[in-house]
Amino acid sequence: MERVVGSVTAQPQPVRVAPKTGTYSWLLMRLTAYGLIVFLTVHMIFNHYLDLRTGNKLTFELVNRRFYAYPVIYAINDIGLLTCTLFHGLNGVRNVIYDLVTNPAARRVLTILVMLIGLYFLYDGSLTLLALAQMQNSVGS
Amino acid sequence: MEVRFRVHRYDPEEDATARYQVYTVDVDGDMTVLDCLNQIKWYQDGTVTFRRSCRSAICGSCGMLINGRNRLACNTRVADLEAAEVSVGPLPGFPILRDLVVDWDPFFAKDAAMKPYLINDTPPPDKERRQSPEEYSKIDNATLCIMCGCCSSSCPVVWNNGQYYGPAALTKAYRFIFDSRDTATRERIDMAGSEEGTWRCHTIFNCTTDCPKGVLNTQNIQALKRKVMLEKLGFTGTKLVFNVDPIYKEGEAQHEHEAGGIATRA
Ligand code: SF4
Ligand code: SF4
Ligand code: FES
Repeated sequence: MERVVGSVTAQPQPVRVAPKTGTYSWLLMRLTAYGLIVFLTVHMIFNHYLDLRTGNKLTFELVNRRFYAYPVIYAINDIGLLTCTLFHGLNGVRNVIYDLVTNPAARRVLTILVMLIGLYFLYDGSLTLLALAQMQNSVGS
Repeated sequence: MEVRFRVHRYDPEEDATARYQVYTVDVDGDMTVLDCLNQIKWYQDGTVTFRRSCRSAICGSCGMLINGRNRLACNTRVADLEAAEVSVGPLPGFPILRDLVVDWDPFFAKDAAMKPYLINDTPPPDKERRQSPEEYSKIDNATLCIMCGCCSSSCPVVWNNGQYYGPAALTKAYRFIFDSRDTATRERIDMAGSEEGTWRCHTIFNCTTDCPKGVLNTQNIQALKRKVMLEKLGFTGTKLVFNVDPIYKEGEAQHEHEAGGIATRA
């Protein structure tokens, strides 16, 4: 007998023992949220706010000066920000995948894809930040 | 007062698709939606099919989608709906067998997966396994569940993912995991803490809003998440600086369901 399903799409499926993963991604989702608050605050103060001491307007030159002054702190902070943003955002994408896709193989493939995207951007972004910091360091010294 | 009832109709042997049929019922006083459905079945159309038993909000048979919310038909006064037309449909997200009757097999299979019974391997004491009022207060609210399915059927994650255990089964897991007399925490956490368990809940709160007995499903699931995490990190039995027990706001455990008006015990 064909079953009519109501206004939504759930299909009856046998209960299966699902993988016992998920705990760490939930925990890291929380930890990266705290990380975001810290790194983002430093980043915003560094890159986007007025010169608090003098009240001068933000200029490219001013940001550059700050950057010259603290290249290592700047690079560490922004790599931290990048890591937290990528994990937090892409883990959200993974959650959506797990909500919508129930096939275990498809879930695995899509999760690996999301991880590779994250790792690529982390690698690329970190290299750029490190290169910048190194440049500033050598210019500064 | 004459009220129009739009009732979901579907006969698997006759109908290719579901439809709604309109009946008019003379409603007076405290008549509930279930009273009206009975009037329709007994005096207008004997083919209208629905489940009911206790008509006292205790058996959990008559959960339905009534004017856009999951409610118990026997516990919903028509007058409280303040509508000239009442729409009655089967619980969303469950496979429909006929008219307002849905297939409960997947729901109860998920419940059974949580081992919904007390497990304690230690030899029984002379009299009984005792529990203090404080210990009991952690599970009191969860024991109010009557397995009506209104919560799981209101959860958007359940609609999309038929594998997700859903709030009813997870509240059942909670009820035994936080029971001071139970010793099968690990077994239940293996199910409740899996990818189809607590981690699929996105705290949308539909389940808590629609529970006719005031069970705080969302809060229970959050307490389970903390418990699962601590178990997995190996903090079992350690005295923690923070509390993994459910965090109910002041007065929340007695919250009154706005439609049903059933006050739960504190
Ligand atoms: S938690 Fe509430 S809505 Fe869910 S099955 Fe139990 S009584 Fe029904
Ligand atoms: S709180 Fe969780 S279980 Fe309840 S409706 Fe939302 S997602 Fe579903
Ligand atoms: S008939 Fe039993 S709960 Fe409504």
